[in-house]
Amino acid sequence: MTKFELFEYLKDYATYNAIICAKCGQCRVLCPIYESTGKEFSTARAKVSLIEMAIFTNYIPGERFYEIMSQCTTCMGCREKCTNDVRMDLIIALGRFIWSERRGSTSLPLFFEVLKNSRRLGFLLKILRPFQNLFLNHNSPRLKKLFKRTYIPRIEKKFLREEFNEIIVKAEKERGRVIFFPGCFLDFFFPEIGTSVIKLLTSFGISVVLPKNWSCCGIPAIGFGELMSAYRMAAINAEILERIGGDLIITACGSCGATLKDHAPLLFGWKDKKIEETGKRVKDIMEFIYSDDEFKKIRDMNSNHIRAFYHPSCHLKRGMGVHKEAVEVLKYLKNIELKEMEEKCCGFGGSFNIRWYDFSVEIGERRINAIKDDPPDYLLTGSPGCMMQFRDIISREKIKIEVTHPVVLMWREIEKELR
Amino acid sequence: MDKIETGLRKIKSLFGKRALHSLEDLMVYSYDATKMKGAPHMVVYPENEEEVRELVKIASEYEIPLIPRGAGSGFAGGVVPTDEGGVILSAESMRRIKDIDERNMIAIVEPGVITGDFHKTVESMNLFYPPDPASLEFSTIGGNVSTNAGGLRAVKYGVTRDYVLSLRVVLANGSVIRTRAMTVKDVAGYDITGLFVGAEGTLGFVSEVTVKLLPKPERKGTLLAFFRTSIDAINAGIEVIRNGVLPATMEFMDKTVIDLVRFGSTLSVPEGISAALLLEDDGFEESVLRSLKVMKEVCLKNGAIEAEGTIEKEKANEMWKIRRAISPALAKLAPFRFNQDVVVLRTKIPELLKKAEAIANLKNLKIANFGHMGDGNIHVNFLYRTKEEEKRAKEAVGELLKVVVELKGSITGEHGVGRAKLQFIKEFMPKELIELMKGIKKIFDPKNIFNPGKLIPYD
Repeated sequence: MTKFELFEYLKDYATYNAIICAKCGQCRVLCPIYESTGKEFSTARAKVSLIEMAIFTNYIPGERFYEIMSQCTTCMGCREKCTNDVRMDLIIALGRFIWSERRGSTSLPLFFEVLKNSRRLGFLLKILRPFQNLFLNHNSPRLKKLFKRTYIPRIEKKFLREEFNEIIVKAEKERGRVIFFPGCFLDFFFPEIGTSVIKLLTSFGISVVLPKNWSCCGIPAIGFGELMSAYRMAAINAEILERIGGDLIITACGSCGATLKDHAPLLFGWKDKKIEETGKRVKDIMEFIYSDDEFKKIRDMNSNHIRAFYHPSCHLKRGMGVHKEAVEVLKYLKNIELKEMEEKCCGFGGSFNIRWYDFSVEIGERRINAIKDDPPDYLLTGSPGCMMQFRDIISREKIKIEVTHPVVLMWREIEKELR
Repeated sequence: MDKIETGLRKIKSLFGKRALHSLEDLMVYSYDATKMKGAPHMVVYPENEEEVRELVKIASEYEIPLIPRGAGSGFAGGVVPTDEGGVILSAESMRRIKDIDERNMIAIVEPGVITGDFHKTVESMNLFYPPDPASLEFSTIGGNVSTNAGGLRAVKYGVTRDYVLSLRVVLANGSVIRTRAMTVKDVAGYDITGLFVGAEGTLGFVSEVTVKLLPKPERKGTLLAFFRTSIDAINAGIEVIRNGVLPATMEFMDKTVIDLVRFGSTLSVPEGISAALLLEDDGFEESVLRSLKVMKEVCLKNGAIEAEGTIEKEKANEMWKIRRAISPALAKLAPFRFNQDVVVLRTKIPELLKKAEAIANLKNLKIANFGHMGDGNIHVNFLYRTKEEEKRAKEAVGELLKVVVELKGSITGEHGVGRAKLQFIKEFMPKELIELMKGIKKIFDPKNIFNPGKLIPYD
């Protein structure tokens, strides 16, 4: 696919969406950016009308265009609220694409080139691993100022790919088999989630195929408007996942899942049918557990008394349509006191967090403020993105809550029961 | 032109970073829910009344149009600048709830407060602010006041005007008036407050609103009834009220609408029906149960095939889902529509529907009718897809409004005039009334700086 083809396709797609957008203003209701600024330029309909101007007139997008386009956490709250089903998320992706083409950055595509090959990325991170303390020293006030962040994920001592050397992790009494697509974060930064997924599945008779070479799902590239990189990534994944065969593909990262299942098929499925077919096979881990009655046995197992909040990750809930499943599965744990947080974005948004860090923190603080008076033991969420955001906010405010993925808690609680 | 430039420069220096004028920002403030467009020269966000006064003084001196704007969710182009441009006076930075007096049951708010947020705040104190336009989650109180917004609960509770006790208004000469005492009663002099409610920002900038609050009703009872004909449905609605129940809500849906939404619903919608009523009453539980009983009996007596009432929240939600599904369903049937908010006496609705149907047939257009039957305020929608159909739909609207005037109704029941209905005001409003309006405008705003080109037809 050429850039031109992609642009032409997106232009038609955006034109249609711009036409059905009634400019009613409903899109602002769930918008975390509007929640902060309270100004029209933060709404999704504003972004739609800027795109209209960019495609229908001689207007040449400037710095302010990108400023507005980049002020979006990609939470898809606008899409959820829209009565006419306008795909604002893709319109914004087009806006960022237009800008990235205008700016013509060379470093970003290079960066994504590295992410395209997980073996290469793993190798690179392995080399960097011993030195990370030098540049990620959390106690150095100078660096803290530089990074501003109080929490930066560390390259783990043991990657998921090192923990499970084999491609297929066999269950003892095999009832079924799934492919597990870990994605960059679960492999290199949060392997505990991946480990929990694999161990939980195999102890209930589901064998896991763990592909060793895949590409980043592409969501950071979409976020930065580098759609050509995202396309190449989606194509590589579709190719690899198709080659492995007809099993379900399990994700435990809402962002990877939403990209494989929803974003990539919509953006590139028209060109590459494999991408569309792959999307149909994707299921979130919680969705899978919910659909398999064998896991209901967890209900009979003992577990500690736990007070937990569940934060619905936007990519998981709105991108993959998984919410009730995750909550129900968590309730399998006998002594869990589970509360649901408001269905509002945590403010992370990947590229948004990098470009508008203070903004992002402000949104995150609002979410934490809502629960901080009676802090739970756990804050659970299905996306590493939300996890990073909450860990940052929590260490900034010095509150003691453990932020983790639901599946990690599940495995921790029932591990001893299974022995 | 030079004069305007100087004025704009002065405004810019007054507001600094809170004055936006990049091409992108002007674009973003150039529309409302009508899809009309018109670019302003500048957008400013005053944070208090004093800043508005300074702004108005400059605008008056240099004759720069000021366009007060809330959420830009209006359906009449009221905040869309004309070709003259001007400065958008955004209320988005004036969004404080200044005071809620629980014992006197009044609240003082700034114009940029979002109606839905205000609802939540007062309801948490067991108080109630009834006006609930469909856009309540994002529209502002200032906008609601300026368009005299109605809502779904208007049958029993009335419209925004019925809750506005007093206003503070910045006038074109830079002075500020309080229109009325904040007491429940005050008959000293003309009803100046009423004049500003629904003035669409043409007389001044409302900088503070004092509203009346009610006790929050304990329960809600919802009833959905299906009828074989629209006439049966309208009759049943009228009879419900005559039999002693004035429901908060009385929504009507015609056949097109029901056929569209029936598949998405978990409720079973009987076959062979051509109208439905959604009724809702609120109050103490005992009284709501009694209302439900009466409403059900009256509906069944007046030709309802089926009528079911509930006080369970979830069941009621399912019923409301049918009503809420209308707009998206219509959007799928045809991407565009002219949504008219005409209003007639309740008893004239069957005639209105019949004639609207005839117009649609004549123009070969799809039509869908639904809306606030209890107020006689029916949304007649002419659907269209192509440019060619759009032309016919436009003609159909003209015909429809003629019918409405013949039926002694009004061409707009809740959206307002703005720019969108200006030509129809000229066509259908008596000349003497228009002259009177021009006179009033001249007293308040002799230089015509407040929202020019809206509401009052010149030329």
